[in-house]
Amino acid sequence: MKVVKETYDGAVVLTLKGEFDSFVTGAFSSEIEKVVAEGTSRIVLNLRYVKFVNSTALGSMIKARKSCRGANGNLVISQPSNAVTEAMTSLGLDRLFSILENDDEALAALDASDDSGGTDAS
Amino acid sequence: MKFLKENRDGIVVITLEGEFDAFVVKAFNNEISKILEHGNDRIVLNLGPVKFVNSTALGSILRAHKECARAGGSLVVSQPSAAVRDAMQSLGLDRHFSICATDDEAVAALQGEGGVDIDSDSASAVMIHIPESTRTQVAKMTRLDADSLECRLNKAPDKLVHGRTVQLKFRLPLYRKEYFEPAARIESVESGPTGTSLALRFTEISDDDQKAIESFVSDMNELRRAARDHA
Repeated sequence: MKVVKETYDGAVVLTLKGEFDSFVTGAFSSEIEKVVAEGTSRIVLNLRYVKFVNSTALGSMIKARKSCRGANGNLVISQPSNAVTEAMTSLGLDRLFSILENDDEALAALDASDDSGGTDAS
Repeated sequence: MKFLKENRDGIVVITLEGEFDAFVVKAFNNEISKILEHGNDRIVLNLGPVKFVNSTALGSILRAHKECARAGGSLVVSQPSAAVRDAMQSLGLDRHFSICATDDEAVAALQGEGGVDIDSDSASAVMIHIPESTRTQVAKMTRLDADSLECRLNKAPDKLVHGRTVQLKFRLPLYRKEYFEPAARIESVESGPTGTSLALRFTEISDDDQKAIESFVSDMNELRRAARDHA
């Protein structure tokens, strides 16, 4: 797997390429730790080039989201591939993560997620 | 409202009777706190005789569920009445709770934690090869544990009998692309009108496969908890 990092104003976009499985989870988690340790807790995870994702990798994404939120930031997902969308939906994780159609929207969602609260009526 | 409490092998079954509204929420919360303080974190909530439930009450059930999860256990709803079912569905809460048709099933679900139910979304086909037979049977995996699995067949051939050792071949699409190929012994065969359920225990499995299945089971439990706790 390859990780491409782009730094924006107070946020980082990580684009992952390839297969996201147990073998690369360690590298992914270290990358997140590094980004958060460097003071950026607002992360966009672009998953459009991820052809395969497994349960361990999904677990590491949840941990990454937690550590961002613990540092008063957030982690949102941008442009998930079909493989990622299917895996997340089957586990109900699509309701846990904010999922956006492109990086611009994802960056905007990070700005907006500072003020949470409120309930949707149904 | 009335509470009936029963202890079944360390699992507490609470049956609620009457109307579950804002007036009784406090009593319910106290009851749950008391049970958790006693070190029981696995609770079955039988809501069969509940005629009415309101939003405050649903909130308290959700909180009870979270507290059990935080203590390392779980709360399962059993036999919800039509009123409860409607209320839970309209709020989407039915997705966040394990809901069982009977107390027995609920208790079994709590006892069986550790393994993972495989629902139809991520269903895997299990190919069952019977030695000395040319045909391979295809079943649908319903549950996976570190050392065993359960699957369903529409119709089981006579050769799939208790005690027989068979060769299995299956994939876990949410874990890796390659096949798992353990040998397994048939531990139980249950036939019903909708098909046959088989329970199989692995007898020969590679270390890699064993580790991968253990990771998968623990990942899936963790992921489902994360998805549920978001409620």
